[in-house]
Amino acid sequence: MSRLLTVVGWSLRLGLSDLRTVHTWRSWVFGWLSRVVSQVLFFSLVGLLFGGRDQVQFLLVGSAAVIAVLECLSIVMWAAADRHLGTAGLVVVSPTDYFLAFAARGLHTVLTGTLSALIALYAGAAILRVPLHWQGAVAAAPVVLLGACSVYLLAVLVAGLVATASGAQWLALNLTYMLIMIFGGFVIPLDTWPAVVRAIVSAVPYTHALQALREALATGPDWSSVLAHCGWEVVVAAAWAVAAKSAFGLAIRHERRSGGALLAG
Amino acid sequence: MTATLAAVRLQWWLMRGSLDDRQSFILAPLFVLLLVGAAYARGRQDLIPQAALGAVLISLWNICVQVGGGIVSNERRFATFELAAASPAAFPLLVLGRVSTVVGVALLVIPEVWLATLLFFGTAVTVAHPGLFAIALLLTTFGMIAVAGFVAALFVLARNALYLQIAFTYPFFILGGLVVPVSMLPEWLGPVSRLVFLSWGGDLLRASLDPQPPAGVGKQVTGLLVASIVTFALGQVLLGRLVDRARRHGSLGLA
Repeated sequence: MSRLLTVVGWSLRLGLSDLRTVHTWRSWVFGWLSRVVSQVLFFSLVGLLFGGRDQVQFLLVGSAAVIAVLECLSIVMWAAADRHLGTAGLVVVSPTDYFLAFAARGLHTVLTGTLSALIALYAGAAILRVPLHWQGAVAAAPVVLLGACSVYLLAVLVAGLVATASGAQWLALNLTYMLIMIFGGFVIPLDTWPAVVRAIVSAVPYTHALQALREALATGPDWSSVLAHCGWEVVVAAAWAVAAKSAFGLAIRHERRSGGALLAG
Repeated sequence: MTATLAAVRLQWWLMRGSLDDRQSFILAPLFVLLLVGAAYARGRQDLIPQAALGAVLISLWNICVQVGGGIVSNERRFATFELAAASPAAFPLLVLGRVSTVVGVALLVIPEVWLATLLFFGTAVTVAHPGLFAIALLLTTFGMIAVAGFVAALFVLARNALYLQIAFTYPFFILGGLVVPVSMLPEWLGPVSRLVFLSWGGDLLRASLDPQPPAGVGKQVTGLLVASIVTFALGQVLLGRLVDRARRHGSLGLA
């Protein structure tokens, strides 16, 4: 157990140092946060154009929540960076689990993603004068965190799948982000999709957490429904954790057998 | 002219080889699903042309800023900037040739989005005023070339390009009225948004799709022209200064 914690601890430290190469606190606050708040305002204005005040709230919540998806997916780029720098091979041959080391390395994106999403939600609500009751605003934090954890596991899976596909990481990130945004109920209400699409989407990470978030922020929320949605999200997250670990295992076995690019750097 | 044509050929060749440069064409139909789908799901079929136009403008803007904006910084990264600066051709003209190619290729998103809207939602967007559409598109294309040249220089001159690369997305989608017309924004944002050429271009293009007779076309065309020319001139001056500054500071090197 202590060995596992050591690996997780070092991976996290490495991830945080990666983060510092991308952002300073100033670029995060003035660059990134201003961008995410603008994104929320953009979609909320689209809501105003398409449907009026109730749609503004719908799109405000959805477009703020999806920020966490974007940040978590950023780890897709790091798997490729690991390969280019030749460090992936070193971790694979070390006596530790590469999946664990890699998955722990991007965990900070779950925290920063949750934080960005919450700031965008509160700032957007304040700017657009969308009322958020305090219980909902408080409950939003653990619910978004749960959604971010869940979607992070999908991000790890995508990273494993495209780690060796040269030059496809950026596209894979954007495609995954857009597809989740379109079909996950963030911008387009879930109940307007056909039943087949809804059935598939129920297995996509974050969709249950998003429904929990919408319920928590509704007037007179049904807290048992919030908890039920969160429960489903935990089940979905567990399934994606197994899928992500298997995908990484397969990718590494394939690379080992073929002496492939993941190990060669 | 020869140098500009060589730049056109170079950019075409580079874009053919880069998946990152072409990804906006893969993402454009997804923007259709997102924006047109958002209108469709709310029973606002009347807003489908506007949403499809939004998908076009967002894709165009993304290609211009991401691909066009990266031209000079990539030249610096791969140390080809020095060779371009040492050549007798004017550097701003080379960049102009390259960004024009980027924007020219980017225009392919228009038929792509039209087709995606038809396939996904069964709506063939019709252009109510073809003449106005042609003028608006021509001027908007010039505006896009101007912006791409401007950001190409800005991303290299700025101390922290990351701020800018991030900032040149959603804030401009709002200010440029890419989906929501500028007239719906708070009044105090009006003067700021009018500095962005797309706030005029977007209005003109929307008016060309609307069966109602267009109003205030002269003012909008003038606004679009002035904003684009100012951006273009700023871009050319910045690109010239970029080379001068590198020479003066001795930061050119082929060692």
